[in-house]
Amino acid sequence: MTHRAALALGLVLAAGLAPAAAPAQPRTVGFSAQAIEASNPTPPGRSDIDPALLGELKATFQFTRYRALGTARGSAEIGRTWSASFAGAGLTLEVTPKSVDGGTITVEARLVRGGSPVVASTLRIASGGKVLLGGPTIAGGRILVVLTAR
Amino acid sequence: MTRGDREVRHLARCAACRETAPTLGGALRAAPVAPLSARERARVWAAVRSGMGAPRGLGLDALLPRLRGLARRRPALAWAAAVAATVTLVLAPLHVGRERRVFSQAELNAQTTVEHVDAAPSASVLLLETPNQRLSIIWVIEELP
Repeated sequence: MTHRAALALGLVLAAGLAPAAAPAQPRTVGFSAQAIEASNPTPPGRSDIDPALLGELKATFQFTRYRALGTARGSAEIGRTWSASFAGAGLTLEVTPKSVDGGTITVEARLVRGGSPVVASTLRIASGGKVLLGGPTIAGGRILVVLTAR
Repeated sequence: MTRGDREVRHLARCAACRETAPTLGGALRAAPVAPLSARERARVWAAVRSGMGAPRGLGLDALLPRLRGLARRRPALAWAAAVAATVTLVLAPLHVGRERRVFSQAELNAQTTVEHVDAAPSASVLLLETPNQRLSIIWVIEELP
């Protein structure tokens, strides 16, 4: 056996000794969608969402109150659609994971009202990262949906 | 110096022992030896059996001489093992470091990107990002009918 063959054998052995280097990608993606109502009531009411998120929203928008409407959780296999209905708002969030590459999840996310998409987007979300879809008018103000994928 | 070396040196200097040594073994073999009693024989065989039944050493002490022998006979195998060990030692910390890296929420949000957005014809879209947590926002402004 030459040194070159020994080097090749060594590399093959090393590849075999590091099985975790290329873990299999998960086929199912978990989602959570927190619905928040943003409004400007008179007098200004009390906000009841996570203080860190509240600070971020107050630094971005001029709404005076952010009220949690609820959080939906679920999962979907790659190519399948998970949906969450926000009944009071008449809106449905539809999320379809398209692929998982390392720690990044590519999803198609849509907000649908009455069967018609209000907005449709393609997102690349770091596992555990968040994206906010919002703006549609609801009875009390505007709706914001914080989407998390992992 | 081993016991054998000492004996050789002593024999070189001692004439009496040189004369006695060749006949000593024969004299010892010719001396009458009492046979073992049944009890002594049983103890000897018991010791032999327990020695035969004991597991062969597979520890490092037993393994190292074999590996040294293999490395001498097949040096390429030794090289291959060395290359494998080196590559593994270099890659393993990188992999462990990557797996155990914990990102903050802001870092996770910053790695999140909006690739494409479509809105209804009667709507406009703003893309925003919050200042601290780098939260991407898709903000839809619907025109009222």
